[in-house]
Amino acid sequence: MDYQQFRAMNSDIVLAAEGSQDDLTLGFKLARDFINASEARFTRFTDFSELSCLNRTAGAWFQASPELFDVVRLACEYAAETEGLFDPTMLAALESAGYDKSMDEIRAYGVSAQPRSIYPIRSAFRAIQLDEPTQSIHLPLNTRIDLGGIAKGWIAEQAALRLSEYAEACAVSAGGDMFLIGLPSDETSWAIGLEDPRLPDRDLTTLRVGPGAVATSSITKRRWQQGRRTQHHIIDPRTGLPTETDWLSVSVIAPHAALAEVYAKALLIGGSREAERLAARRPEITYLAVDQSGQLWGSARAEEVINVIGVEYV
Amino acid sequence: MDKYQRKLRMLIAAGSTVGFLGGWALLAHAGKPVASGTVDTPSDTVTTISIPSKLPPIDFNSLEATGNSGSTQSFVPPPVTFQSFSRPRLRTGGS
Repeated sequence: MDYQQFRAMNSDIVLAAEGSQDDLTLGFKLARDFINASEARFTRFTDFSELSCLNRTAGAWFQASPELFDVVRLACEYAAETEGLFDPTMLAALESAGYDKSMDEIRAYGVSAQPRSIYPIRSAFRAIQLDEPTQSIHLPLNTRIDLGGIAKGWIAEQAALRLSEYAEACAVSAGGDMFLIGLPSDETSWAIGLEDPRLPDRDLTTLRVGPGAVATSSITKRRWQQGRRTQHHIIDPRTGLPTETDWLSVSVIAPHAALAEVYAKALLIGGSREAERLAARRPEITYLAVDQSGQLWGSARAEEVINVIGVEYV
Repeated sequence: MDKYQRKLRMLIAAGSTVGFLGGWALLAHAGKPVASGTVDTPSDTVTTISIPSKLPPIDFNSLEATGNSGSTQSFVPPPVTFQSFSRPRLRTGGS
């Protein structure tokens, strides 16, 4: 297995693949180029990304690229499916909580003490209109969207598909949200470390998963101090505030990365009370949650993917 | 201050060496001791004293140029040992 690591989308990107050296060199380059181009398209932290242009055009129709149209369509469908627990229109709430610049900048410079957003905090995904023939999107007036997690998953899957054309087996991980194609030689599964949300240098267990997607949402990773309050980036659309949940992280194994991303976030927000009802909508997913004591919770099939306990990184 | 002291030390060392060699040569050509009871009369003979050859001048500049002050030493760096790490591991934990 050959690896390439770099930083994009404010995340550590890992490309892993098996195949001939010449093919992999080209495959890695194409995957990396695709990730960088996609970051430029989907970021909300620059004025000139396609997403920022769409947000500025709220109240009018915007002709989108096939990539942006695809991700916005998926986001709207999943928002409806999860009854708004996943909601791409929570950007104003994120900014009010202080997440108005990239995580790298927040870590370097912190956030302003007072919440600020000139936009109303309200759920508006049901009012987004899509016109498939013209690939056009209409955001309601004063509505802006953030595609952070779902776009990251989508990008990882698309990059993996591109890399797979040059590899016998491959994986693309974007900050731990990944898409796996094929299997490593002489293996019956991929080994994925499940990070302990309380101690990021430690793995609680190793997951043994087949081809498909793995994504994790956590309230312990992207955190910052806003005045006296500790904030994080998982907004509960029911309150417009960083979610209060009995779980620290939720990982989902699913056939597609966007699906895994959405359900990881929705299950984390819903917590143990909503989990069974939510997961019942998608029998094809397996989820695994970690609570504050490090206890693992999950769907019945989660036990099948848990393998080894106790991997430590020093 | 160090430089001045070093020069002074070298001068004293050189002077001591010249003095030692001169004294050694003088003693080597001195008359043999006489038995007790005999009166040592001044000799009429003239003893030739060999004068040691002139010492080469000390080149203080060359001493400084070596930089050999005692505190700084040059070392051959030891070979770097590379550790091999296991391959990157795929992990999930939120980003």
